[in-house]
Parts: sequence; C-alpha cells; structure tokens
Amino acid sequence: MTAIEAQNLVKTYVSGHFWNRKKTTALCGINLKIKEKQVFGLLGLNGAGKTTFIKTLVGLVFPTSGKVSILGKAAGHTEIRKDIAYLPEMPYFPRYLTPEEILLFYARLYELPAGSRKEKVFAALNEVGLFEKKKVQLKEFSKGMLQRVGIAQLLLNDARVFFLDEPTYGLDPLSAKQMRDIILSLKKAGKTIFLNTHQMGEIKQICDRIGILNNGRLIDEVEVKKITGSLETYFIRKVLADGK
Amino acid sequence: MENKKLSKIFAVAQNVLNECVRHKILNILFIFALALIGGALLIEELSPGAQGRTLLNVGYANMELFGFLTLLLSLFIITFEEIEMRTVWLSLTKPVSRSSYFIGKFIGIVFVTLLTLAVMSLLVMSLSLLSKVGLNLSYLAVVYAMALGLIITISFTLAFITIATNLPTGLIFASLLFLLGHLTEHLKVIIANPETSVAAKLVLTFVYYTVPNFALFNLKDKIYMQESGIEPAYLLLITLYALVFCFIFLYIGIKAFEKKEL
Repeated sequence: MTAIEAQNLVKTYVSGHFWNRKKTTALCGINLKIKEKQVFGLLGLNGAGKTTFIKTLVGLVFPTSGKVSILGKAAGHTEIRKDIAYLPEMPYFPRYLTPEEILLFYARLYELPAGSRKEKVFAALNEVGLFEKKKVQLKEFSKGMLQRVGIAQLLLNDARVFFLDEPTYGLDPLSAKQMRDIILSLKKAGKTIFLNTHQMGEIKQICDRIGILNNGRLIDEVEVKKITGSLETYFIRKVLADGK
Repeated sequence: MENKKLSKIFAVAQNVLNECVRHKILNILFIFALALIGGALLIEELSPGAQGRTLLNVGYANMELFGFLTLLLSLFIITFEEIEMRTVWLSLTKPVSRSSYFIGKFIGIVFVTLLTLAVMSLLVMSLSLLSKVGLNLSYLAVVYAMALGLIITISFTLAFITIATNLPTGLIFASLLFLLGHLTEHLKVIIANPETSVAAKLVLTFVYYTVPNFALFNLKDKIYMQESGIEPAYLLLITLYALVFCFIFLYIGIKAFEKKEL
C-alpha cells in the first residue's frame, strides 16, 4: 500500500501587499510515492523546499495545485491525523505548561481513552528521559530538552506514518543517538517514516530510499543500498549537476 | 462523535486557560486591577455625599477596562505563541479540526476574561457591603451585561487577528472597533443632524448597524438614571444581540482560520 503520495504538487507563496504582490514557488510539480513500512529520507540544501513539503504533507499549508495523500486519504484530513505523527524542526510548546500537561493535551486530541492517557504519557516521558521533569514548566527547558518533549509526543498515538523534520537538531551526541535508536525501533516496528535531515550518517543508517530536492524540484530518487561510495559526494554531485 | 469533538474543544480551552492564568504579565495586570478597585474605597471616603457612586463608578470602570486589557493580552500571548513560536503546528497536526481548535481558543479566552471579571466584581461587591453603599442585586445585571460586551469583543478580536497578516495589525483593528462600538450612540445624533450629507448619513447608518453597539451593555448608567432595576426582557434582548454578533464574528474567524497557512 502507498503510504504517502504527491501528484504534480505545486506550492507557491504569495507575499507583500496587494499593490506589490510577489510570488515564490517553493515546490514545482513534485511526484512521489512512498510505500508503507518504508523509511524515506529527503535531502536538500537550505531553502530547497523540504520543510514546505513536509508541512504540505501534514496539512499545515495547502497545495497551490496537485494532490497529496496519506494512507489513501487527502493530506490534512482530520481523520488521517490519528495515524500520523509529526516532529517539526525545533518544536515549541506553550511556555507555562509542563511536559505532562502538554502531552496529556495531545493525548486528548488523539482521543486516547481517559483511563490510559496518563500511563501513555508517562511511558513516553520515560522513553525520552524526562519523567523526573514532568512537572517543570517548559519555559525552563533547554532546546535539547524541548526536542525530547517533541519526540515524546511522537510516541503517544501509535502512528503508522511519521514525519520527522531534522529530528536530531539541537540534540547532544547522546540524545541524538537515543533519537536514532527510537527511529530505528519505529522502523523495526514497520512504521513508515519520512525524514528531513542534513545528517548523511543518519540517512545511511536509517533510510531505505532517498530523494533529493533542489529549488523545489525532486531531482533524484534512489534506494540507499544502490549508492556506492559516499552519500555526501553523491548528493553534492547531483545538486551541482542540476545547477544550484 | 459529538462528545469527542466537545472533549477536544474543552481540551483546547483548558490549555488556553492554564497558559493564561500562569502568565506573569496577566498576573501583574490582575493584581494591579484589584489594587485600583480597592483604591476606589479610599476615593469614596474622600467624596462625601457620593453615596457609594464613586466606589461603584470607579469599580465598574476598572472592571471594564481591565476586562478588555485581559482579553487583549491573553489573545496576544496565545496567538503570539501559536504563530510566532509555532506552538500551533503540533496541535493542528493532531486529529482536531481547525474550527474546533478556534472555538476552543475562544472559549478559553472567555473563561480567562470571565474569571478575571468574576473576581473583580466580587471585590467591588464586597467593598460595597463593607462601605455604606450596601449590595443591590441589580448590580449583578451590570456585571452580566459587561461580560456580554467583553465576549463580543473577544469574538471580533479573535476574528481580526486571524484575518490580519500580523498580530499587531489585528489587535489595532480590534481596538478601533471596540472604540467605535462605544461611540455608535453618538452616530445617531450625527445621522439625525439635518446638516449631515446624504452620503455621510448612508455610511454612518451602515456603521451604526454593523458595529456592535456597546452602549446597550452599559447598564450602570441606566440604573443610575432610572434608579430602578433592569427588566429581564432587556437582558434577554442584549443576550440575543450578543449571540448574533458572536456567531457572525466566530463564523468569519473560523473561515479565515481554515484557510490560514501556518
């Protein structure tokens, strides 16, 4: 089954006032199919359109034209969000709430039964090593700790498809390894993962396939095992050949 | 199904309430409001012959002002965190519709504002009891009408900050509408003036009927002037008036939020 599909996806942002409208095309006609249980890594330079693509997939921005679907349903559909989990690049949370409160809030939105919500939240906090800090307000947290709360919220709903935007951003080496271990355990559990990252090592270790996005176009799609030599060299060669 | 939707709406509302009641700026504003209301007792002592009017005047004026400031600041804090700090990204990728989220936020801000108003009115009433003013039940109607006015204000402020491209613009427009809403009674006088041109009359009549008329919710002056209670039918009428405006503004806000790219 296809887990994620984009057909001729175009996203154009309009900025400025009505007398001085400016259009910027972030995604130009992307076609992509990701099978269920596959781990897909999206590579691209800064500003290539990776975050816009992931935001379109999770329904935070809307396609200008084309179609996007998750598990056969239109992306952004409320029902489909029960089956997805999303970690933005550098997640932020309401500053005066505690990790326990914010995760309980998300658990309620996920419609988890009232009886098991706390148990699920505590298990997720335990997994990311924040159980002891569950009653501390989030304004006291460092960037790395907020990232770990972000990881904890991924684990609440037993999602089928995961969208991870730079999941190891801001993490110390040990936490980054823990994050990679969590992703690998999700892969082992047969989850579909869409990963945006600049970490080539992470891609090589985790992903089955990669796509290279350049100036809003998907210029390459390949299985990781078919890449001989360094992934970094492969990526740079592709981007340069496309003309940065 | 409907229960699940309601549960999500109240989860959002509870979140907004928790966030606001812990916010330092709002706490300071609240303490300041209580101190000013308390100060009204002193002013009352210094105004012999006012027979409690000073206490009530200052008390209610502060309640309205700080109620407005509370809702404005709460909306600023919540929306700033949602949009500028992107906290909304994680909430809206969960199975909650944008309309439920919007309504939840509205209810949350209404809770915060009513809570502030309730504590302030309790203080005003306690001070009235302690002083020679005494307690009059019709003052509850004053607070009720004030709350209705503030709820309308929340609905259009929320709509404006959703439609506007940035937060300050939305808040400025909402404040202007709040101000205009307090002046609509004066528009009547201008419209009735024979020297007003036909075009101006048309524009002003349009404004008169489309902008919420906050004078309807000012029961304080009515009580002073009539020296009698307020008719229940009047309270019902202004409740319906407030509901209609809230519905219109919430509908506009929800439609804008559903199309808003985050």
